[in-house]
Amino acid sequence: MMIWSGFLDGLRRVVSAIMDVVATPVLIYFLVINTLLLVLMGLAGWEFVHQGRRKSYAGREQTAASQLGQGVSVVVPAYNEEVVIVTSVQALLALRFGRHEVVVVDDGSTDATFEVLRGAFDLVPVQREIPSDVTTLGTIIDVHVPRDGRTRLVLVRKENSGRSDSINVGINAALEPLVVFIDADSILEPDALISVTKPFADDPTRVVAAGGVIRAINGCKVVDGRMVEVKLGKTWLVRIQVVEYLRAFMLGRSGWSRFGALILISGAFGMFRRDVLVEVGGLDPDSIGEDFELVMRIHRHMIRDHRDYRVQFVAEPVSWTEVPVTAKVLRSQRSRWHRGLWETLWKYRGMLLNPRYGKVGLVALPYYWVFELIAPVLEFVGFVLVALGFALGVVNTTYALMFMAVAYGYATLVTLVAMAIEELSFHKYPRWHDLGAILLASVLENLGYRQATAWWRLEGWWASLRGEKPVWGTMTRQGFDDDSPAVAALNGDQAMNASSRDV
Amino acid sequence: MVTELVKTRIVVADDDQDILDLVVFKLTQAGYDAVPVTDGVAALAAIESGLPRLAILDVMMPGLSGMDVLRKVRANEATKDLDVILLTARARDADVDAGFATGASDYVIKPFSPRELMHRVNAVLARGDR
Amino acid sequence: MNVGQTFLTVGVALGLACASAVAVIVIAKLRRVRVGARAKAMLAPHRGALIVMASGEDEDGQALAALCAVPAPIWARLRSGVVAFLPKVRGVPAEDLGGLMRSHGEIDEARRMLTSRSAVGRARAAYLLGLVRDVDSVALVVTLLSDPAADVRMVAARALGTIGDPSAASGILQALRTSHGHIGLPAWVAAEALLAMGTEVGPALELGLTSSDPAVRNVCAVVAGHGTYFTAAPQLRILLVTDSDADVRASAAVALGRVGGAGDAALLARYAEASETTVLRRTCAAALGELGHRESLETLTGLLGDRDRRLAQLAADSLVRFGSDGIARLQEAAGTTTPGPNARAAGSALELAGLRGQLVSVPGS
Repeated sequence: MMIWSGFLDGLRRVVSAIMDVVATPVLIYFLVINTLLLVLMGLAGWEFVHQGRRKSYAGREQTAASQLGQGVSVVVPAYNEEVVIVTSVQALLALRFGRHEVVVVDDGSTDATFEVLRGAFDLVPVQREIPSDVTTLGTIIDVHVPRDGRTRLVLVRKENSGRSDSINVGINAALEPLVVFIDADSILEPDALISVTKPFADDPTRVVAAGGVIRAINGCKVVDGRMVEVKLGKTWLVRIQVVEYLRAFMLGRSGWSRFGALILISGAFGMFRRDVLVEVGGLDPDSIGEDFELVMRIHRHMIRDHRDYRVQFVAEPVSWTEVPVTAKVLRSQRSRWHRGLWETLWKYRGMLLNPRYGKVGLVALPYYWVFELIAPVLEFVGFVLVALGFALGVVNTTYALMFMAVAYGYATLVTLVAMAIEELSFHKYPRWHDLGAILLASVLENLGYRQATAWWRLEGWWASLRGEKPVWGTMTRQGFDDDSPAVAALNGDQAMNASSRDV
Repeated sequence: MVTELVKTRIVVADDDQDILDLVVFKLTQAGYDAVPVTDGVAALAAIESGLPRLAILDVMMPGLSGMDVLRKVRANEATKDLDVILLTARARDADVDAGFATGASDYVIKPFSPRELMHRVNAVLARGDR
Repeated sequence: MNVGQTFLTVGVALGLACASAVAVIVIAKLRRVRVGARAKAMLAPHRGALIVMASGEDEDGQALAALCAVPAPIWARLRSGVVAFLPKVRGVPAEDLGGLMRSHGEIDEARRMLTSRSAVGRARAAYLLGLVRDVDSVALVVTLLSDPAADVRMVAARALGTIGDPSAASGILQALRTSHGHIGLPAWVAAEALLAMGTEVGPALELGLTSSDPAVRNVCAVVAGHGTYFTAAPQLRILLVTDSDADVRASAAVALGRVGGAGDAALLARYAEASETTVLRRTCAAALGELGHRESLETLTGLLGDRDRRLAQLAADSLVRFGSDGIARLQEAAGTTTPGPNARAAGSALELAGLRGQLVSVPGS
């Protein structure tokens, strides 16, 4: 009994001492980050809300029919994707665009990926030489094309060597000047290529990379590779992720793009100029946050070369992707993302606060260091300290409530503003029920989800600092035509080379 | 004895509701039995179950394009002789070549003249009758 | 003000802000749903007439008359449906729909809106004038080619292409120039517009080929090739040999492939072989295939072993286009006992040609 109260006393003193130091900074941190997010949203929001008006004269059909614009190679790395690959490729071939090809790179699949493709598209082997513009590791086994010799589909089979290396092989095999990487499980909007090539067409000498809005597909009704009905997922975990995507990826990215310092393009859909990719050497197979790392490398290369360039974000939905359905998979995803973030930021630490690197070095990188990398520390520690302090009587009610308001209340406001912008612009969720669920999810996010993801991100960071080998997540494919909450990881040991991408 | 006239069935596939309504109306006015569908997979299903005399297919439909439908139709024993008219905004020579090479009976470019479309429909059906 | 009061203020402010956000969301949705439903109900009876008109079945003009007589509030909702049909049909239906728009004063309104303060308004107006092919508005729309908003310039260019009046060609070429660091028009938009205007743009093109702005020269070269302006060949040759801009040289090469004469085979061959830039070499190799002059067979066969494998592939593809002569060369290269790069490129192209059914000799190919 004595020992216990003695322990509590000691704890009280420790917490009190820490709180004396961090009490105000913690509050300031939350105030600043949420305000910055609002600013980013302000930069982007206007554009989003008004993009709908432009559609009436956009002339999409004509753009799609024109062959004078630059062509696009859609590179799809695939590992054991037998469930979705045929539907996916069919949908990709059917995209509305004047000139594009689909390059599927089979990363040594052990399932029937090749067989189903061969059957569906009547593939025959050809002798095509794949140049080595980008250095690749995996040996190429063979190349197949459809028997009619005209359908612009290419299947390159190679030894298993990972997603990044497969994409690099795809870059080598690509024939068009623009390359876009997507995952086999993504559904693209029919106009995706038209949307994301626009910045390249508007400014061909400058724009080197572009991304668009990614959304969560869970719960949506997808039939034969087409989005038929947009619905919210059934579990709160999925719903909260939908909200997360809308806020951070949609508006955050757009804001940075307008500012002129976009350093992160989603790995789920990124379009790049092929010649620039070759110049910088493609994706780095050893990197965990390889998509982030690629964009950083492009920035560094272009700045060092004194080139006038732009990385652009298109304020339009282009791709739908599957988000983790269980906490286990989510945990491994978030820990991987944060690890990738850390390792890439550390790799390019020379650019941080370096005036030579302009807005990227002086604004974007510091923001990412503080508000993306270190954020989970501050969030989690803040939460633990306040909760503990309150329980121990060190922290008074007012402060605790203030903390809640600034950390979670303000964050909820930011999210609600994002939802408002979404409703005013794309309003993809037509049902009142879904809208209500989204609003509720905005609040619920702060009651456990944020804290959990903060912890998992710290786990990833710690794992990296300790030099642990990275663990690839296992996300079992549910296939497209399924809108019920999934029971993932049925085959828990299925060693899938799931993407390590940052979104 | 009353002989019921069996109307010639034509499947029309386009994801654009305006075009669909327009073509279906035109065909119905001309006495055909027009079956509208809004995507490639539904088109295939309608063709395989309804066994129409002709199919008018838009090329750029999301999911399964008109060209894919045409390919599958030609590859299927039961439907390989179906007449198909492609209706599309893709107007380049290469597109037209590819369309005919895949087995289209005719190729109509958007924007199109509904009157001209009907002439072609009649012509294709007349060819098939012989 | 003590901490408690601060907190209260903050809390209340937050609460109000959140409530406002939710209110905005709910109100926006309600408005959209209600407006949408009401619009649909209003338009339903008229959709039939619209379809009759759009399909050309309105022989007695009754549908047109009915829609012309529609009162203003209904027309305001109906017009977008009519506008949606305009780019989809040709011939009498398109004329009828244009007449319908005119009778409701839409064309006059659009002409006025061309000088609107809102960029969206200007763009919509230009778009509409293009859709109805209003030749009388060409001069007005041309002024929009120098509009400060990029979107407006693009819509104006496309509208001018749809209208098809060749007098707008020089305006479009002017609009390509970069001003204040922004390009005036995407190249492909200008090219498509010019191609839609027909052969009378020839003089403007030839002038543009000598322009001081590389973007203008580039687009003119592209259009000269796609539109087969044979008279442009001499100037294209000059561009290929002497131009300072790499893109222009490449576009000139592509165009010469289409409109060039016998002498151009040697010219293109020169730039395919010499130590030029990768892009130019590849473009010339492809252009030789397009040109199709027998003397290029030798050059192309020689390129099969080039270090640039993509160039070799393009050369092989070009040989296929020569028909039996080119194919014979490929078969020769592929049939050699030593499996070198020549054999690989040749074999690959022959394979593809076989799949496409191009190996069967067609008379006159």
